[in-house]
Amino acid sequence: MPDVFVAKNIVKKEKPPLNQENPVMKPAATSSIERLPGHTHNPFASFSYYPEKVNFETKEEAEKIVLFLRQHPIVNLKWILIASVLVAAPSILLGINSNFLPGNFRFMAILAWYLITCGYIFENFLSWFFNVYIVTDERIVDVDFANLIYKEVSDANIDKIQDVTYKMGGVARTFFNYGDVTIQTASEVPNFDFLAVPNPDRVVKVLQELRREEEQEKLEGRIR
Amino acid sequence: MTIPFVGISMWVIIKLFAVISLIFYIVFALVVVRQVQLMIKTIELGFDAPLRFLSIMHLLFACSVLIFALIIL
Repeated sequence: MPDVFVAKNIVKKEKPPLNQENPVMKPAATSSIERLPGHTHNPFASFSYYPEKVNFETKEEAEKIVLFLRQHPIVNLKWILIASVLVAAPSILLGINSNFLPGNFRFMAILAWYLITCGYIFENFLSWFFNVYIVTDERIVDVDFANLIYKEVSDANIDKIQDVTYKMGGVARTFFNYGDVTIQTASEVPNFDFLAVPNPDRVVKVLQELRREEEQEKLEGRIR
Repeated sequence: MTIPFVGISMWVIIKLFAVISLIFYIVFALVVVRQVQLMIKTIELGFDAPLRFLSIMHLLFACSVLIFALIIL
Protein backbone atom coordinates (compact mmCIF):
# COMPACT_ATOMS: atom_id res chain seq x y z
CA MET A 1 0.00 0.00 0.00
CA PRO A 2 1.53 3.35 -0.92
CA ASP A 3 2.24 5.97 1.73
CA VAL A 4 -0.16 8.85 1.28
CA PHE A 5 0.85 11.06 4.16
CA VAL A 6 4.54 11.44 3.59
CA ALA A 7 5.99 14.77 4.55
CA LYS A 8 7.61 16.68 1.73
CA ASN A 9 11.30 17.28 1.96
CA ILE A 10 11.87 20.93 2.63
CA VAL A 11 15.10 22.04 1.10
CA LYS A 12 16.86 24.66 3.17
CA LYS A 13 18.73 26.96 0.91
CA GLU A 14 21.74 29.08 1.76
CA LYS A 15 21.63 32.26 -0.28
CA PRO A 16 24.78 33.40 -2.02
CA PRO A 17 26.14 36.91 -1.42
CA LEU A 18 25.94 39.77 -3.93
CA ASN A 19 27.79 40.10 -7.17
CA GLN A 20 28.89 43.43 -8.58
CA GLU A 21 27.09 43.15 -11.93
CA ASN A 22 23.85 41.90 -10.47
CA PRO A 23 23.93 42.31 -6.71
CA VAL A 24 21.19 39.86 -5.84
CA MET A 25 20.91 37.16 -8.48
CA LYS A 26 24.43 35.99 -9.12
CA PRO A 27 26.54 34.42 -6.40
CA ALA A 28 29.87 35.91 -5.44
CA ALA A 29 32.66 35.20 -3.03
CA THR A 30 32.97 37.11 0.25
CA SER A 31 36.01 38.98 -1.05
CA SER A 32 34.01 40.33 -4.00
CA ILE A 33 31.37 41.72 -1.59
CA GLU A 34 34.06 43.99 -0.23
CA ARG A 35 34.66 45.32 -3.75
CA LEU A 36 31.00 46.28 -4.25
CA PRO A 37 30.66 50.04 -4.84
CA GLY A 38 28.10 50.47 -2.06
CA HIS A 39 29.80 48.19 0.46
CA THR A 40 31.25 50.05 3.42
CA HIS A 41 32.18 49.49 7.05
CA ASN A 42 31.34 53.07 7.95
CA PRO A 43 28.64 53.08 10.69
CA PHE A 44 27.35 56.45 9.37
CA ALA A 45 26.82 55.18 5.83
CA SER A 46 23.39 55.82 4.34
CA PHE A 47 23.59 53.14 1.69
CA SER A 48 25.41 49.89 2.21
CA TYR A 49 25.34 46.49 0.53
CA TYR A 50 25.90 43.57 2.88
CA PRO A 51 26.86 45.67 5.94
CA GLU A 52 28.97 43.57 8.25
CA LYS A 53 28.43 45.21 11.60
CA VAL A 54 24.67 45.64 11.35
CA ASN A 55 22.40 43.34 13.28
CA PHE A 56 18.83 43.68 14.50
CA GLU A 57 16.83 42.09 17.27
CA THR A 58 14.45 39.96 15.18
CA LYS A 59 17.03 38.80 12.62
CA GLU A 60 17.06 35.06 12.04
CA GLU A 61 20.32 33.18 12.03
CA ALA A 62 20.26 32.26 8.35
CA GLU A 63 18.92 35.66 7.27
CA LYS A 64 21.33 37.93 5.44
CA ILE A 65 21.11 41.71 5.29
CA VAL A 66 21.31 42.64 1.61
CA LEU A 67 20.85 46.38 1.86
CA PHE A 68 21.09 48.84 4.71
CA LEU A 69 19.62 52.33 4.29
CA ARG A 70 19.04 55.49 6.22
CA GLN A 71 18.24 59.05 5.17
CA HIS A 72 20.81 60.87 3.07
CA PRO A 73 23.25 62.84 5.32
CA ILE A 74 22.24 66.08 3.58
CA VAL A 75 18.87 65.98 5.43
CA ASN A 76 20.84 66.81 8.59
CA LEU A 77 21.84 70.16 7.19
CA LYS A 78 18.78 71.96 8.63
CA TRP A 79 19.39 71.00 12.27
CA ILE A 80 23.16 71.45 11.88
CA LEU A 81 22.56 75.06 10.78
CA ILE A 82 20.16 75.63 13.68
CA ALA A 83 22.71 74.10 16.07
CA SER A 84 25.42 76.40 14.70
CA VAL A 85 23.20 79.41 15.41
CA LEU A 86 22.49 78.07 18.91
CA VAL A 87 26.22 77.61 19.58
CA ALA A 88 27.07 81.13 18.37
CA ALA A 89 24.07 82.88 19.99
CA PRO A 90 25.45 83.45 23.54
CA SER A 91 28.60 85.18 22.30
CA ILE A 92 26.54 87.36 19.91
CA LEU A 93 24.00 88.27 22.62
CA LEU A 94 26.73 89.00 25.19
CA GLY A 95 28.48 91.14 22.58
CA ILE A 96 25.33 93.27 22.25
CA ASN A 97 24.54 93.57 25.96
CA SER A 98 26.53 91.75 28.61
CA ASN A 99 25.07 93.44 31.71
CA PHE A 100 21.47 92.39 31.56
CA LEU A 101 22.06 89.69 34.22
CA PRO A 102 24.26 89.47 37.33
CA GLY A 103 27.52 87.54 36.77
CA ASN A 104 26.51 84.26 38.42
CA PHE A 105 23.14 84.16 36.63
CA ARG A 106 24.80 84.99 33.33
CA PHE A 107 27.26 82.12 33.77
CA MET A 108 24.47 79.70 34.62
CA ALA A 109 22.35 80.91 31.69
CA ILE A 110 25.23 80.22 29.28
CA LEU A 111 25.85 76.79 30.81
CA ALA A 112 22.15 75.87 30.60
CA TRP A 113 22.00 77.17 27.02
CA TYR A 114 24.87 74.91 25.95
CA LEU A 115 23.32 72.00 27.81
CA ILE A 116 20.09 72.43 25.85
CA THR A 117 22.08 72.83 22.61
CA CYS A 118 23.90 69.55 23.35
CA GLY A 119 20.55 67.85 23.96
CA TYR A 120 19.17 69.24 20.71
CA ILE A 121 22.18 68.07 18.68
CA PHE A 122 22.25 64.62 20.29
CA GLU A 123 18.51 64.11 19.88
CA ASN A 124 18.60 65.04 16.19
CA PHE A 125 21.62 62.87 15.57
CA LEU A 126 19.96 59.88 17.27
CA SER A 127 16.82 60.43 15.26
CA TRP A 128 18.81 60.29 12.00
CA PHE A 129 21.12 57.49 13.11
CA PHE A 130 18.45 55.06 14.30
CA ASN A 131 15.85 55.68 11.59
CA VAL A 132 16.97 52.88 9.36
CA TYR A 133 15.59 50.67 6.62
CA ILE A 134 16.88 47.16 6.16
CA VAL A 135 16.36 44.84 3.24
CA THR A 136 17.24 41.23 3.96
CA ASP A 137 16.98 38.26 1.63
CA GLU A 138 13.65 37.41 3.29
CA ARG A 139 11.99 40.70 4.27
CA ILE A 140 12.10 44.43 4.58
CA VAL A 141 12.40 46.07 8.00
CA ASP A 142 11.57 49.66 8.84
CA VAL A 143 12.90 50.99 12.16
CA ASP A 144 11.28 54.30 13.10
CA PHE A 145 12.65 56.31 15.97
CA ALA A 146 10.38 59.34 15.81
CA ASN A 147 11.22 60.79 19.18
CA LEU A 148 12.51 59.78 22.56
CA ILE A 149 9.46 57.87 23.70
CA TYR A 150 8.21 56.51 20.39
CA LYS A 151 9.73 53.62 18.49
CA GLU A 152 8.19 51.50 15.75
CA VAL A 153 9.71 48.47 14.09
CA SER A 154 7.70 46.96 11.22
CA ASP A 155 8.58 44.32 8.69
CA ALA A 156 7.09 42.55 5.69
CA ASN A 157 8.17 39.48 3.78
CA ILE A 158 9.64 40.03 0.32
CA ASP A 159 6.93 37.85 -1.24
CA LYS A 160 4.27 40.16 0.24
CA ILE A 161 5.58 43.13 -1.76
CA GLN A 162 3.07 44.15 -4.41
CA ASP A 163 4.40 47.36 -5.84
CA VAL A 164 7.53 49.46 -5.52
CA THR A 165 7.75 53.07 -6.64
CA TYR A 166 10.26 55.81 -6.11
CA LYS A 167 10.00 59.58 -6.18
CA MET A 168 12.75 62.08 -6.78
CA GLY A 169 11.96 65.74 -7.11
CA GLY A 170 13.49 69.07 -6.28
CA VAL A 171 16.93 70.55 -6.68
CA ALA A 172 18.58 69.01 -3.62
CA ARG A 173 17.20 65.53 -4.30
CA THR A 174 18.28 65.56 -7.91
CA PHE A 175 21.68 67.01 -7.11
CA PHE A 176 22.47 64.58 -4.28
CA ASN A 177 20.60 61.66 -5.87
CA TYR A 178 18.20 60.72 -3.10
CA GLY A 179 14.46 60.18 -2.93
CA ASP A 180 11.54 58.32 -1.38
CA VAL A 181 10.86 54.68 -2.10
CA THR A 182 7.27 53.57 -1.45
CA ILE A 183 6.65 49.86 -1.06
CA GLN A 184 3.09 48.56 -1.09
CA THR A 185 2.66 45.24 0.62
CA ALA A 186 -0.06 42.70 1.31
CA SER A 187 1.07 42.41 4.94
CA GLU A 188 -0.36 44.09 8.04
CA VAL A 189 1.51 47.32 7.28
CA PRO A 190 0.23 48.25 3.80
CA ASN A 191 2.88 50.86 3.01
CA PHE A 192 6.56 51.10 3.73
CA ASP A 193 8.14 54.45 3.03
CA PHE A 194 11.90 54.61 2.75
CA LEU A 195 12.24 58.37 3.03
CA ALA A 196 15.09 60.38 1.52
CA VAL A 197 17.28 57.34 0.86
CA PRO A 198 20.29 57.61 -1.46
CA ASN A 199 20.17 55.90 -4.88
CA PRO A 200 16.42 55.09 -4.88
CA ASP A 201 16.72 53.52 -8.36
CA ARG A 202 19.24 50.99 -7.05
CA VAL A 203 16.98 50.25 -4.06
CA VAL A 204 14.08 49.52 -6.40
CA LYS A 205 16.30 47.30 -8.54
CA VAL A 206 17.50 45.29 -5.55
CA LEU A 207 13.91 44.84 -4.37
CA GLN A 208 12.85 43.69 -7.83
CA GLU A 209 15.65 41.15 -7.96
CA LEU A 210 14.79 39.86 -4.51
CA ARG A 211 11.13 39.50 -5.45
CA ARG A 212 12.08 37.65 -8.63
CA GLU A 213 14.33 35.34 -6.67
CA GLU A 214 11.62 34.73 -4.08
CA GLU A 215 9.15 33.81 -6.85
CA GLN A 216 11.73 31.48 -8.36
CA GLU A 217 12.19 29.84 -4.96
CA LYS A 218 8.45 29.31 -4.68
CA LEU A 219 8.29 27.73 -8.12
CA GLU A 220 11.17 25.44 -7.33
CA GLY A 221 9.66 24.55 -3.95
CA ARG A 222 12.61 25.87 -1.99
CA ILE A 223 11.17 27.14 1.26
CA ARG A 224 13.14 28.51 4.17
CA MET B 1 15.09 93.41 43.58
CA THR B 2 12.10 92.34 45.73
CA ILE B 3 8.66 91.50 44.44
CA PRO B 4 6.05 93.82 46.05
CA PHE B 5 3.50 92.28 48.53
CA VAL B 6 5.32 88.93 48.51
CA GLY B 7 8.60 90.19 49.92
CA ILE B 8 10.73 87.57 48.13
CA SER B 9 13.69 88.49 45.96
CA MET B 10 13.09 87.99 42.24
CA TRP B 11 16.43 86.17 41.98
CA VAL B 12 15.27 83.55 44.48
CA ILE B 13 12.28 82.81 42.26
CA ILE B 14 14.52 82.64 39.18
CA LYS B 15 16.89 80.29 41.04
CA LEU B 16 13.95 78.07 42.03
CA PHE B 17 12.69 78.07 38.45
CA ALA B 18 16.19 77.21 37.13
CA VAL B 19 16.63 74.35 39.59
CA ILE B 20 13.20 72.86 38.80
CA SER B 21 13.87 73.16 35.06
CA LEU B 22 17.25 71.45 35.46
CA ILE B 23 15.67 68.61 37.43
CA PHE B 24 13.26 68.12 34.53
CA TYR B 25 16.18 68.23 32.13
CA ILE B 26 17.96 65.50 34.12
CA VAL B 27 14.85 63.32 33.77
CA PHE B 28 15.01 63.97 30.00
CA ALA B 29 18.73 63.04 29.95
CA LEU B 30 17.93 59.83 31.84
CA VAL B 31 15.28 59.00 29.22
CA VAL B 32 17.90 59.61 26.51
CA VAL B 33 20.31 57.16 28.19
CA ARG B 34 17.57 54.54 28.48
CA GLN B 35 16.40 55.11 24.92
CA VAL B 36 19.92 54.76 23.55
CA GLN B 37 20.24 51.44 25.42
CA LEU B 38 16.94 50.23 23.97
CA MET B 39 17.79 51.32 20.44
CA ILE B 40 21.18 49.63 20.64
CA LYS B 41 19.38 46.48 21.79
CA THR B 42 16.94 46.78 18.88
CA ILE B 43 19.56 47.44 16.24
CA GLU B 44 23.33 47.14 16.41
CA LEU B 45 25.07 49.48 14.02
CA GLY B 46 28.70 49.18 15.06
CA PHE B 47 28.75 52.48 16.93
CA ASP B 48 27.24 51.34 20.21
CA ALA B 49 29.94 52.17 22.75
CA PRO B 50 30.47 55.82 21.65
CA LEU B 51 26.71 56.43 21.67
CA ARG B 52 26.37 55.01 25.17
CA PHE B 53 29.32 57.15 26.25
CA LEU B 54 27.78 60.30 24.71
CA SER B 55 24.41 59.72 26.36
CA ILE B 56 26.06 59.23 29.76
CA MET B 57 28.24 62.32 29.25
CA HIS B 58 25.09 64.30 28.42
CA LEU B 59 23.50 63.09 31.67
CA LEU B 60 26.62 63.95 33.67
CA PHE B 61 26.71 67.41 32.07
CA ALA B 62 23.07 67.97 33.11
CA CYS B 63 23.83 66.81 36.67
CA SER B 64 26.86 69.07 36.93
CA VAL B 65 24.86 72.08 35.68
CA LEU B 66 22.29 71.40 38.42
CA ILE B 67 25.03 71.20 41.05
CA PHE B 68 26.56 74.45 39.73
CA ALA B 69 23.13 76.10 39.88
CA LEU B 70 22.69 75.05 43.51
CA ILE B 71 26.15 76.33 44.45
CA ILE B 72 26.49 79.50 42.36
CA LEU B 73 22.97 80.93 42.30
